[in-house]
Amino acid sequence: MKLNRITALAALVLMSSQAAAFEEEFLDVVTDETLGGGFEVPEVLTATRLKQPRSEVPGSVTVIDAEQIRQWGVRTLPELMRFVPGMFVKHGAADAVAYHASNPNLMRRMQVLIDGRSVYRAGIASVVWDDIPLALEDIQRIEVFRGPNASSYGANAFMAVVNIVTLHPQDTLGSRGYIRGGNQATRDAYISHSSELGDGAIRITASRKSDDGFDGQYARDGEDDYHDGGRDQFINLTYAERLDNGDQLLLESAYKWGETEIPPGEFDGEPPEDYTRNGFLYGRLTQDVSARHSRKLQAYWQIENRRHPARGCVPTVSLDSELTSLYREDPYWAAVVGRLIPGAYLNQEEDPALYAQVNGLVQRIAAGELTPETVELALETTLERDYDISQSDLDAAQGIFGRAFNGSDFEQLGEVICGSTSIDFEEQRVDLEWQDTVHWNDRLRTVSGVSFRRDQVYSETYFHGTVRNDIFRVFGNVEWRPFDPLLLHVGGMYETEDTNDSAFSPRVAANFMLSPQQSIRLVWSTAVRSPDLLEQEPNYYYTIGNLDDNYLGLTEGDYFEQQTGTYGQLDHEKIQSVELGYFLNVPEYNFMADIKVYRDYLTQLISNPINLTNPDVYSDTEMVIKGVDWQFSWNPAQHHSFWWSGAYVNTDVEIGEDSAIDEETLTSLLRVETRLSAEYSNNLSWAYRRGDWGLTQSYFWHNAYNRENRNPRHYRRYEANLTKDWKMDGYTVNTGLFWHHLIDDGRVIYINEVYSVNDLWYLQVGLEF
Amino acid sequence: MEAVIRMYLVLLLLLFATTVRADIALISDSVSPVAEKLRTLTAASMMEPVVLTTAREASENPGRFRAVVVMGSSALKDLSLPDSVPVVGIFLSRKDYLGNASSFTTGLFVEPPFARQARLGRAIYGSQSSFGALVADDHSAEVNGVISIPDVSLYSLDKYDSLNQALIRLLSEHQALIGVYDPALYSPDNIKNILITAYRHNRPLIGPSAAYLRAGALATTYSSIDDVVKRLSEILISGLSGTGWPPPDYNPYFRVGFNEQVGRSLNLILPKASDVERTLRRQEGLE
Repeated sequence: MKLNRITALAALVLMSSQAAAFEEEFLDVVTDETLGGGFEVPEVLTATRLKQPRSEVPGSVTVIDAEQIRQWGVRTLPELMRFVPGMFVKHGAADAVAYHASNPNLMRRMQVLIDGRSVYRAGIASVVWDDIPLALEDIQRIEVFRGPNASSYGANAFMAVVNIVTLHPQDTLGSRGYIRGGNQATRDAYISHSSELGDGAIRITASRKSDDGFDGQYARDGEDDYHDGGRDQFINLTYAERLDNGDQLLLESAYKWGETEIPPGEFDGEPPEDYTRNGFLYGRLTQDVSARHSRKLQAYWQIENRRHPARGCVPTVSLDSELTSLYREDPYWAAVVGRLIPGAYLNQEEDPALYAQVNGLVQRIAAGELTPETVELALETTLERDYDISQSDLDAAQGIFGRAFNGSDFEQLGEVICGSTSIDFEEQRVDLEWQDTVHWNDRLRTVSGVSFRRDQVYSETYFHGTVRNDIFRVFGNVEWRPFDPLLLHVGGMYETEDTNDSAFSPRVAANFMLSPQQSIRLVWSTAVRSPDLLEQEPNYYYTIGNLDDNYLGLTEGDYFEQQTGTYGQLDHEKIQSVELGYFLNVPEYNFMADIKVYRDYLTQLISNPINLTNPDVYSDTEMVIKGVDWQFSWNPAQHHSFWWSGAYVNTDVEIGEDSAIDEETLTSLLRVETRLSAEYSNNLSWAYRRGDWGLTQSYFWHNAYNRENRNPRHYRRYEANLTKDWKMDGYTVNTGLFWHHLIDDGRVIYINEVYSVNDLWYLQVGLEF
Repeated sequence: MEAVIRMYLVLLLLLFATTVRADIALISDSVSPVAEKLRTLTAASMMEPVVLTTAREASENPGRFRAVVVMGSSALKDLSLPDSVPVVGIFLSRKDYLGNASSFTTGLFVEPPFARQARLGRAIYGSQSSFGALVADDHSAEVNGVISIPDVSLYSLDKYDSLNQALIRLLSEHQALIGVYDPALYSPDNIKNILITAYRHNRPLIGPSAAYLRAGALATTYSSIDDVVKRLSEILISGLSGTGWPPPDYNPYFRVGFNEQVGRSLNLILPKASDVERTLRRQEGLE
């Protein structure tokens, strides 16, 4: 009896374990075979294809999706970036976007990728948003990784990475188009068609955008006195296919051309324009080796040609070849001879006292009556800065002034001649990357790869020839779940390149999972920004041709201020970032929150602008940025969605070598790193969509830009986007009215970057079928 | 392995044919562990012998059986029984049952009812959610048991140029795709496309059956073999006891399965399967 019980118990245990195994088998066997489907359902969303949940990401990420782009109704990528916590945008001829704090002149501390292709320029480190041949309507989502991420993206993924993913052509089947027009000469058009082609899908998009930019400080009531408009158009082609063996192929290409108005500079006789042409070819092959192993190969070539023809006017003396030699010996004294003294002759009516003083000085130098000490004293008294003038410096000046002597006076020092200049720039990049992802088991995943990139720039103005830089990279990231609440990430990228030292950028992060959709993360990450080719290998000067008659008898001449590699070897800019973050997702309320407290320590920053009037460039600025970022999104009801993002940014800048810098320049340098940064910022948005109607209202409140200044500036804006669709018989007509109201109409950064009206608007009519 | 099982089955058939007068025949057109398991469990549940046999064997000795249970529509082939022998179809879809209705006395559909899948979607996404379902055409919808449900829009492929166009429209307008049990629509080729496209849109597939969970569907309701045996026993007891054969229907006994990895990746918090099962049962008046 007892034996029977034991047998029965054993049979029960056996049966239950068999039943469990059988249960699993049943799911497949019954459904696939017994039911007459006669097929095995393949495993499609394998571990390698599934995206990492937000709660497990080792950093702060903001995702903007296609629906939000449509709701907000903005025209440009930088305008979208305003919704990202801690992002600040300088609109204008060269839109700049900075995360927390950066130089507003060039956007060089952020990496921007379109489907994995870097649009960060290597020649003059920057991202030119207008040159990106991509329509907002073709974007699936934008992932903004807020913080250094060099371990995944390499150098220049310095303060943030903007990763733009375009829509799969299959997701845009059919035809779409719109025209848009509004004030500020806004005239846009977009047309796109996607269709299935063989086993894949293809999309062709053509788009044009134009507006006249800011109006300038003196413009009133809709006038436009500022030369900063832009006209850009492009065609791009995307093809995607899932091959028979399961591999996924993506091919993209584009050609873009446009003109950008440039505010006139000191050489420009008439307002110049930049003419750009660029294009690229891109291919990516993703292969699933198994459900747990995938690899990716991507390659692209891109080219950009920028032409900036201008008619420039300069003092004749500035083309004197002896002045060029003098500039190499003593740039500060040469600047006095080539810029300051001609300026006094030119403006003698406005400032006769200065003219008299300068003319006397010139006469006595030309006569050889002054010693270096006397000239130093005279300059130091007038210009309030130290000079170190040698006898040979004075001799050179004597020769230069002598050539300007017309037999009775030195008035020819005020002679201005005009000629033609052209800043031509052609940049090419070839990039090849291989990446391997392995899910070893449920607790361990690795991503590793290698890449090669060649950047090559030809420019007569900046390099007087061709320069190139080869970069090799090896990277690896490990994601390990040692026990359940803890997820560790360790990664790094090693890079070696021709023009800069090798660099290794590690990152270590720990995500403590409070629940599957709630985590606390602690991240330590580093990154470098490689000095660009112009910073490392400049041979930068203007040649002016077709010159008017002049006392030097020149038909062509080189402007005396030249940057010819005198910067020396600049170091990488470096950042070390520590962040403590909290992420919460409550799907049943469609609520998502992300809060980040951080401290970034930036060293070896290159604060000095790279231009002809700035002979000294150092990589020795230090900056500490501390603060908090927050981001909340909430869909409380089916038709409503809210967005609130913001930041508190506290910066502390310290300039390194400052002995050769006057007080004004020092103040300017201190300011330049924080100019595009508000101490407090909040971005609120409420979107309501019901049926064919949609209304999205956004409010931006940025407090205290340029807070070192006595009068910190504010950025308060209200935006509304009203949309209405009409659907009929397979066709959808969509209309929209976008209204941007400037509550603060003063400048945020530069004095001319203001509008003469407080309301910007545009209307849009489109058709989809 | 198959040969061993086949031999085992033959031995089993011989054994039962010679020693026991069988009451219930279980007919399968192929030798599979599922069939054998079902036989064992049904016999245990009914507390009477169940013979696993072939359609031909059953047709040759129809008088031996009080009832015949047919596994899948393909098992009907070669089955010829007098009208006095009741035939219960199991493991066959509603569509297959309706296509062979005259061969059956009653049936138990293998797929979960469409409305249950929609309710599962609502249990995951909340009552404010809306869903879409792909159907080949109106007729297909009808035979596959797709009924009109508030907040579930049907996208009929015959009204679009391609499956992709219908799918993209659905994904852009709704939070999830409810899979209709239609092996032609959810074929291996199509399921790759459907799942990858839906996932690209951050939209999950719910259903159509448990086999799609491993492929990448987020969730489904399904009836395990225990559930099938439980309901089959009820049907047989009711029919054989003279109470009457219940009409063909879906299985009221079911479970809920999730693909946790897909849920995590879509940033979803999935409820406990047992809680959802209870909720759905309550909604169906089964508890």
